[in-house]
Amino acid sequence: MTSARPAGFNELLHFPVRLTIVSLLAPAAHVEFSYLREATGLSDSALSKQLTNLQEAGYVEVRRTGRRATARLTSAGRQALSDHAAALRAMLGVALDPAIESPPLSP
Amino acid sequence: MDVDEASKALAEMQRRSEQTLRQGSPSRFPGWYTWGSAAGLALIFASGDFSGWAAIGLITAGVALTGGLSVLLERITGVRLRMRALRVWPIALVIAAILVTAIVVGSVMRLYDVPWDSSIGGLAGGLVGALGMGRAQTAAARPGNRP
Repeated sequence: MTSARPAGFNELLHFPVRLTIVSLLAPAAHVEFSYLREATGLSDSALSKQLTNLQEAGYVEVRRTGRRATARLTSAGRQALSDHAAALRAMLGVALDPAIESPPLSP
Repeated sequence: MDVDEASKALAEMQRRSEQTLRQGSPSRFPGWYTWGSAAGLALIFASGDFSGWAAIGLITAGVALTGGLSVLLERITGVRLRMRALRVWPIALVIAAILVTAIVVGSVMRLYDVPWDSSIGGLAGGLVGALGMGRAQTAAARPGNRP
């Protein structure tokens, strides 16, 4: 069953790898690049590319100190993730509630 | 975009957040962190048996040891959790237990004129910390507590 995308749905975040990255970042103040690499199973270059996409959207901030790199979700990224989750829940709610999906016909 | 895909995306978000929570609060702290932090706390309390620079030195050493071990653990796990992602009460409870134990044991030692009363209280507080820290951290980071 398909349904329209509700407000807050974020095409950039919904891409599976990026959704994984921002979800990993969500409960953290910051995480090491090496943790993201291990958790996602991506190569350095593939992870860097996805982080750059998220950085350009203003959702993620990457800091480099010498050889150490850390990433964190910005407040804009946190808000976008929260809105995206709400949009996904709304889609499920619409699908589960027939009254919303098929409003009663007026007499 | 169908409902099944939305459901899978939500499940993935939940699973990955929990993965970071588990990484940032391991269910068992390494021994060097547990006992090192307990030693740091004991040093801070032991400063009560000294005065002047010796007391300041013990407090500085205790704070540096506890803080340094926390930074080292964070480097090893690769994750620093947000305080909002954790439940506060288990951590507050273990801190209160450490303080109450150190103060009560130290006061009883002082009442019976036992020398090094603050150090003994600090050791007792550190022991409570070593026994309770892991459990408190696990309870604080239990999945279901969404950021």
